[in-house]
Amino acid sequence: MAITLYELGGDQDYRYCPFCWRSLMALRHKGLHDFKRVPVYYRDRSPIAFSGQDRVPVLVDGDRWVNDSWDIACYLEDTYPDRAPLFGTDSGRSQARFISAWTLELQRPALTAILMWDAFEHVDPADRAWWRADREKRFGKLESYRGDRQDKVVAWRKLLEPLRVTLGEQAFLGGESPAYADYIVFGSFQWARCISRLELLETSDPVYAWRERLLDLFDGFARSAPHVAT
Amino acid sequence: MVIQLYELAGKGDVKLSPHCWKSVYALSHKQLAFERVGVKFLEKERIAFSGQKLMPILRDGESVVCDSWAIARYLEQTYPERPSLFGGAIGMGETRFINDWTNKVQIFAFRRLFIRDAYDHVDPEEQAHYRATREARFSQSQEQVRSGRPVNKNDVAPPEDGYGGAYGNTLEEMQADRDTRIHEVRRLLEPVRVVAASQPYLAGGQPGYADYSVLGPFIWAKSVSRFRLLEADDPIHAWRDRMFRLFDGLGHATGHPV
Repeated sequence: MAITLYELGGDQDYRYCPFCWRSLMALRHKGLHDFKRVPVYYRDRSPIAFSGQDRVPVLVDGDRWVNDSWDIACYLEDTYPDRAPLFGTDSGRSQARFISAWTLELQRPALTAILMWDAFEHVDPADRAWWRADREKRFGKLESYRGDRQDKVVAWRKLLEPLRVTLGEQAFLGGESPAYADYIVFGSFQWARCISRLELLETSDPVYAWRERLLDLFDGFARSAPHVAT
Repeated sequence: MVIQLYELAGKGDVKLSPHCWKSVYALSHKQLAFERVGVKFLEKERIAFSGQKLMPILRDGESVVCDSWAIARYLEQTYPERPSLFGGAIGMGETRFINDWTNKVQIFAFRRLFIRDAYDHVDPEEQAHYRATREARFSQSQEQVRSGRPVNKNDVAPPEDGYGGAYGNTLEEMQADRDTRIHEVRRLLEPVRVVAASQPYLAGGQPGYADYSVLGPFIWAKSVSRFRLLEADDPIHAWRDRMFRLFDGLGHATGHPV
């Protein structure tokens, strides 16, 4: 059955949406390699109008569709139970929600503020007016985020301390093998990698080594994605 | 021989360690009978058999296990036919992260809210020791005074301005601004709040070790302090109440009402 993932499109085909990356990694984790990726732009969301809402990612699997990255992960786990587990058990599924909530705390406002201007520059040019208006309502002038970011990065790295400790002890959040919890956190790192040259992590950080492992998964699937060259 | 759990204890045998509470709940979850052995700060010769100085320590027949996380893993491996603490390999990996979050964020943020209250619950003969070691370890100048002596790796303070800010210099100063500090601490609990609002326990429909990790600091708090950590309408409050009711209301029966 044909699978399609509708994801956010950006400038020069950068596909940077962190939630879409959760779903992309989840699909590959389940061994589903042959899916179509369809970019959706802020200015025209008609491709996903069938889902009755206007946000990506949206997964279409044969005659079924699911929106929201969390629901997509649950759908994949329930629909393909014989393939590599994303959660394993009900506890695994429930506890992944904590990691999702923790990741949002990392993302907003700290990481969002650090990468605001990079994000703007990678929005598709025809979407930028909409994006600027939308973001400036919430965050103020985009230009105010263009200054030196090093202090903010150093402060942000401290927020990673629990992750750093865990990944100093085990290879993945899922234990010895990657699981959906890893893709939740990785989505934010992949978003950053797609749009920014900024070195978020020091190479000696266990989180850096973990990110390298994630980039290597599925024949370097995430590593080979279009991103800003460093 | 019945299983024994050695726990850090103070005046009137009140238990003084969040990590020990994690192990108490893990043992209860596994439906194991066990004896709780309180050990005061300066009674370390009583745990010399373990080859180190930190608690909790589990003694199960010939096995001696130190460190609350190692104890949880030991119990899961040794008693696999009893209710699972982790829910499989992925569940264990995730639980480790939640436990590390507890150790690095929650416990650090909580400690200074009632570190002076805890002093009142330390055995009077050990209060001077408690004050000297805690002020050395957690004061703003702790980087300068830390001198390579063994400290609990879970007790090493995170960055000075991380997780609720730097501690003060004395126990009194550390606790003094808690009425303003509490708002930041409640905000740090946001991941727990989000999950507690959508499901009964962190582990889902039933509690697991992830819940006991986060519960440990709450019971540690009420053991020594009446300070109000949570608002009544906070989803974490309802989760905590469910947790307090487990195992014949052990949490409610411990320490001060909150």
